[in-house]
Amino acid sequence: MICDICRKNKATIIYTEVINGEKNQTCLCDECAVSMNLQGLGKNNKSDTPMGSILSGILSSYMERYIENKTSDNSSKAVCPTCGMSFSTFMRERLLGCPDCYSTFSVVIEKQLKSVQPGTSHVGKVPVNATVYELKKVEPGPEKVLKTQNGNTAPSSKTKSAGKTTDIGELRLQIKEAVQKEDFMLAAKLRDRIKELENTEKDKGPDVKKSKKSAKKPKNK
Amino acid sequence: MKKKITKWYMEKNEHDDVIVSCRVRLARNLSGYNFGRLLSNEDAGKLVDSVRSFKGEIEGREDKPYYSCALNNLGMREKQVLLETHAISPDIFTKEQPTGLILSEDESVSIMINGRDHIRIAAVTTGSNMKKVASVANRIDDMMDRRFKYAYGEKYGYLTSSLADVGTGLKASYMLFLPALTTGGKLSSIETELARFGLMIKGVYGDGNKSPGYLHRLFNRRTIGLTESDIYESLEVIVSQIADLEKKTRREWYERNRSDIEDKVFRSYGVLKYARSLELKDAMTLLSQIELGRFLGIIEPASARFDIHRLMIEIQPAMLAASFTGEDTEIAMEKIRAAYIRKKLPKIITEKED
Repeated sequence: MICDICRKNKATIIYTEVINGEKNQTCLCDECAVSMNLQGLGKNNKSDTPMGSILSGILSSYMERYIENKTSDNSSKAVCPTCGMSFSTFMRERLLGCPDCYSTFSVVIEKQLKSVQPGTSHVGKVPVNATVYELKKVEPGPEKVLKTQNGNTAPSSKTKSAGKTTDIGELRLQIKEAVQKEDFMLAAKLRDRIKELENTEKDKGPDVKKSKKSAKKPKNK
Repeated sequence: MKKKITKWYMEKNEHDDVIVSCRVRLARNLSGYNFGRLLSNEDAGKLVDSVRSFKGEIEGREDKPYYSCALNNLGMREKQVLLETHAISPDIFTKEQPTGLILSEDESVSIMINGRDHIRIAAVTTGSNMKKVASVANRIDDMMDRRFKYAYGEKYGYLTSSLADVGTGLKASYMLFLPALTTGGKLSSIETELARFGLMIKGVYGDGNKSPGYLHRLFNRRTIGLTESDIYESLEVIVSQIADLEKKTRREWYERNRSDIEDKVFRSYGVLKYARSLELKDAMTLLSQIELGRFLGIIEPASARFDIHRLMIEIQPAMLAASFTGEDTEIAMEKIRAAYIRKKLPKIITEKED
């Protein structure tokens, strides 16, 4: 039996597809079977899976740009005072510039870690001689706090509950997460919520507090 | 470097059917410097010099010779050899700034300086001795901790340039030989399963089903929110399950397509033994057929010490060029490769007759 696709190799797999009661048989060799991506033989997943991942790819990159352009909260405008890394560069390259970036972009970092990691606080090995960077919660111009470690450390910050927030920036991040998880229902709900909030904000008139510039403190080297 | 030295990938452990090697990598950064992306050339130079000076200390403590070099000053070919033996990573390979490397003589321990992170400590061994490599990497990490000032956050642990490493900075990985699962197309469903455990699997020489040699790396995606031993443990549990599944699939596959597989294995041997020109990808695929045949008891190489995976490293372009001693510089790589394999391929002692 010769493979129906390449007409060269010996067929080892018979792929039977039943669509709307119509039976269709294809004889395949190993190579062609793999290249056709017939993993779960029988399951018609060859069309679903790629589509889903393509879609989430497009959506997540779209969302990223959207967040960068539209968010007006502090973290999106933030530039790390120590190394000059900007939020947009960080989002694009997924690389931080220096230890202090962890304070500067803490809000976003927390979100990103949550989506893939089991926790957002370190519980593993502790170095004996390291320079310990404390996380500054204050948004405007985070300053570096250095201290020499003296034994035990306690993970401090509590993570805000991501449930019912009224912060549009945060909601947008949640959308992105939802899209990454391919939970489009949740994404749609969040989108509606943002629209709602935007409308109510418009009714209230221009928001003054949002345009507040972050005052940079002189950095100490 | 002409002296005869046993590299880690030549070390013979008891034959392992699925797990080729395991490796631990720790990402560390020093305070007082920007991370790799924003490090100035001047700082990069200072960083590399300061970390390279660690060579003497590590040699004294570990009691074995180490090399240290300015990686960016090496020739392209030398760098490529290091890449092919997995001593350095692709991102440090292409970096133009000052970069450095400290490498143990057997190449089982490497410290990359100014790659994606300031320091990346890696330890590797053949077979599945994760405990051993973990303790080696940990020991070197402790030494460096005392000597340098690591950047560490109370909340986020070891601060790294990428969020994919933050926390423990640990990536532990097994290199797996998965011909049956790959050919059977089961890898992608395994991949989905693995995501639930925070693990990932990737082709070593290219992605997914396209990885020649059927070599895949299983590693932890999660680095923060769990301890180092949690990471090792979850990997260990999963790797043994994957190994069992692979072996089971190989046998089932053989049961169903006995004559086909036997034909393929002997055919591969024939090609490798007599071909006069071999492309890398083909050579790797053929070699993996032989390895599979050995596992299934179809063929047995006359030399029990014959190691396919070591040969796979040795026939990579730069490795091959480095070992080539002939005069003719115009000769095609494919011909050198075929000749090299012909020379290295052992005879078969047991052949099953029909």
